[in-house]
Amino acid sequence: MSNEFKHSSHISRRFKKSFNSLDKEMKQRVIEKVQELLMRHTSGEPLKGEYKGFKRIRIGKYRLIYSDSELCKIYLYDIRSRETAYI
Amino acid sequence: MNSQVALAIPPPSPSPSQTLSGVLARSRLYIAFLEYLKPYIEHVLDEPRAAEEVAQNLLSDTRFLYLLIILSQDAVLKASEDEMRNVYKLIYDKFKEFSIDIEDSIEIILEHDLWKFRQIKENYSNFISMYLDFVMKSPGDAHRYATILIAVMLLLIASLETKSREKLGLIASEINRLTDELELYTLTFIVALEKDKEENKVIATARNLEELKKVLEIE
Repeated sequence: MSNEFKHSSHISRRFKKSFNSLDKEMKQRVIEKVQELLMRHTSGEPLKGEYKGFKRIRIGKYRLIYSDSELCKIYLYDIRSRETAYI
Repeated sequence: MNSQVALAIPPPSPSPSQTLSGVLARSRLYIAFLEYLKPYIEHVLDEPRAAEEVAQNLLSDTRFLYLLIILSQDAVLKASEDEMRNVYKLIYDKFKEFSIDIEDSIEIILEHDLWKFRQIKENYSNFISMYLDFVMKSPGDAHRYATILIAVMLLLIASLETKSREKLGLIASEINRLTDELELYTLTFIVALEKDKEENKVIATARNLEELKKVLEIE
């Protein structure tokens, strides 16, 4: 079975920087979710207005933000923490 | 019509936490606001699922919109981040007392409120320009955003008025549903303000797991 993704992933500088700041366990969870996404086994909720091409997938307290507006391409935009220290 | 309504609520519109902060402080302005809202809050308390419909009706109510505009100015001048956090701690504790989990929703609302508050304080011209652009290009979504904010505010105020576990459970369920969408708006605004930044540029592509791991520098 081929391990090629069904979509190619295009990684932004922002995504890589956010990814590097995660702990080991969260990095693993993000990689698993990104794999699911690139194999078309999951998809997220679209953002609003003219940013509908961007989507959100929740991974615990984090949100993976990506865009799939180009055919067969996934643009990995960011992984953003919800900052649980709010309350 | 939708865009007119959305524009009537200026960008520094009171976030739910700022409004609640004023409600708890019982200032004259908020007492007047609460007095006006009383029948609406009672309706929401009686039927939490109606919060969204009540919010939509309020968006067509000129007196309510005037009050909201005055409140927005008051909120920006007086509210602090600590006050906003304290309000949510109070609400979180109330639901927790009844073993109702509302943590995710509270975090989403607070994230929205604090992020917006900081933009208004520290990045006003960029924020206002982004927000007006959003309203003009997507009036339907802007109207929906205003509806969600007002519905959440009504539900949070209603939660302070009851000690019924059943009611609080219904209120929590509505808040959870609405905040799932509120988070999408917060992320939209964040992404919109980051438009054209250097960090958005693609630095690498990957077609399989090995390539992805290499790019991300993991074992």
